[in-house]
Amino acid sequence: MWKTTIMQFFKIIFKNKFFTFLNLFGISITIMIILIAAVKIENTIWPGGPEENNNNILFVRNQVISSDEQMSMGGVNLTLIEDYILNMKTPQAIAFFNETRWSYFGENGVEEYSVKKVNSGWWQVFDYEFIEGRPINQVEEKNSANVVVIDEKVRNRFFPNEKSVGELIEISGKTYKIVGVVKEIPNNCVTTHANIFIPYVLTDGYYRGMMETGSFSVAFLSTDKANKKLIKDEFENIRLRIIPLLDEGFTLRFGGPDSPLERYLRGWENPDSYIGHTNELLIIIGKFLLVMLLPALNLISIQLIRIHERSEEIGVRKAFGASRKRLIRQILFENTLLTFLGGILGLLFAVIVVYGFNDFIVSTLFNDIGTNISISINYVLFLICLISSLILSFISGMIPAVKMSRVQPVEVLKGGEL
Amino acid sequence: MIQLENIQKIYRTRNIETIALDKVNLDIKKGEFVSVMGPSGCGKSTLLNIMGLLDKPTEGSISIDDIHIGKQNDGKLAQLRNEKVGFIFQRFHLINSLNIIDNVELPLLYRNMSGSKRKKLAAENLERVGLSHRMKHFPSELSGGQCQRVAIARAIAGNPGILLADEPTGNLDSRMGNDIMEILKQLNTNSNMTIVMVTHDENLAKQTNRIIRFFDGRQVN
Ligand SMILES: Nc1ncnc2c1ncn2[C@@H]1O[C@H](COP(=O)(O)OP(=O)(O)O)[C@@H](O)[C@H]1O
Ligand SMILES: [Mg+2]
Repeated sequence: MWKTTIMQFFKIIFKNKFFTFLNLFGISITIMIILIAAVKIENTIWPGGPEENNNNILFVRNQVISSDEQMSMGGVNLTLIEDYILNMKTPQAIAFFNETRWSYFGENGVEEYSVKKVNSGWWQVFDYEFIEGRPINQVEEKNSANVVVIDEKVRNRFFPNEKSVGELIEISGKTYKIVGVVKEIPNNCVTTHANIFIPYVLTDGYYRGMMETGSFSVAFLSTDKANKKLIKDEFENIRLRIIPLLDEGFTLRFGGPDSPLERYLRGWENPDSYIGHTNELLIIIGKFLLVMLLPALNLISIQLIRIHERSEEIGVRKAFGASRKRLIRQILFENTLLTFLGGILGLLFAVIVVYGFNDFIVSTLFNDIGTNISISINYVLFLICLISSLILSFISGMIPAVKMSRVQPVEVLKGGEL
Repeated sequence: MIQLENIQKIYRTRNIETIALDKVNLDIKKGEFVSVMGPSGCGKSTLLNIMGLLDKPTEGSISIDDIHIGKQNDGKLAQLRNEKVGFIFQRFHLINSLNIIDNVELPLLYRNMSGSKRKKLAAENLERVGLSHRMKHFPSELSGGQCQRVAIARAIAGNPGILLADEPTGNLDSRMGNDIMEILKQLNTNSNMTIVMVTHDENLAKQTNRIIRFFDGRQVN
């Protein structure tokens, strides 16, 4: 019975290309857009590159000092890092950084390079691929040595076709010795991306008072879940120890320590908006369902329009022995199959777009050319999309199906002289 | 085969009451070929719809093949229609998106029957109306007479005891109409099918066993 239903379904949808197209369009475009949006989100949360293992990393992005009347938000204060955070026992390694830009006035006008000021732990927490030399080490950091790690792009620009380790480079009026060259870092690695890395100790003039916010972000390397918990606890302890050192009536909060997902959910702008990631996840799931509802509504309206068009078929089927139940089943089955086809089509579109137009998508989504961000489709997400759209189309298809099954053969099969 | 007792059908629409059938009593025997005649609007189609269990009378009782039709639910009525009755309509009412063989197969879909058996039966019945060479064609590719032959094949595919034909030749020229009439007569004599046919054509009616005449919802003999 199902086999014939399926066969007849295909015959009917091919004979009604326009409606089939409308139905398939809704669901396939929705699924395609969700899959491509997911490429963007996933590669933002888990960008790979030096952040390949970032599920083991906890991030503290910023800090907020506030009282009832005032609030200041900024990066983490350096004193706080040097005197408290660096003394933490539980992390495997501790990294911190801030960033600036270097404008080089060359023959062809201004060239912009991004600069990160990092500590020596940086190179332990993140996993850079060195094509020459090595990271900046603790001794160099301690001695405030004028050393620098550059990326491929800077090397190719200033030392074309030659080794650059050991060479000197002048950046913003200071001369540095190059100790290492790293592979160019994709743009979506927001935390680790830079063209030039210099020891943070070479700059002074950082805010140091406890009542000031600073300019740094911190990252902890952990081993496992239990370790993460310990790190979070130890960090919370520091926070509680510092609050009494602030002026009367002030309190201190941090944007972190967060897992990559938590960090993404928290967002940059307002660490206070972060209520706890389960809540935020619920909001994301809610939005997802809302988006998935669109093709379901599309399906309902199309099917409702089609009742008129299909009423003759329904009447005939009833006259020849189809019960209402049977018709409802047929129509629901047709919708589900159509949705399934739409889902597969959506996946196909997404595959074509993501893999066929890889460069275009990477440059559009991540504003990145040439560093080969490797993007891929999330098939688990696809299954979730497919299943939820099947369920939604099944539920929403009930309304038109029941309506269709109510068609009276006597009304639509009027013989006689009309 | 079909017993109608005191059948009344009243349509009520906006203060207007139409008595489509008024106290109709009919007994149609197994194997009879009956024609129903009467002016337009006198209730012929209503009568056929009630006989075919597509419509319910306002009053009165029906038996089909000795089964009294009373409080059967939708599923049961659908099953009875499927097993006992085949319909032929003036305007064919084939499903345009399905080809001929699939159209003929339709009543068999609602039975417990394997796909191959259904296809075989459908093909056999197409052969009976002389259209086995058109199995893969679509209704839009056939003439009116051919469409009506397909419709007949569909009506008899499930081997029902009763054929209800509402002006089956009404949309056809007289030559095609005669073809259809020949097929119906053969089904009546060779397969002992009980046939009730609505027609306006005295010539066709004369060829049947009995003519029932209606006027204003009443039988007038
Ligand atoms: N659904 C309906 N609602 C109201 N009146 C109807 C309906 N169907 C049929 N009628 C009326 O019932 C009468 C009989 O109709 P019908 O059986 O179609 O006549 P015939 O087939 O003999 O032309 C007509 O007066 C018609 O207008
Ligand atoms: Mg009529």
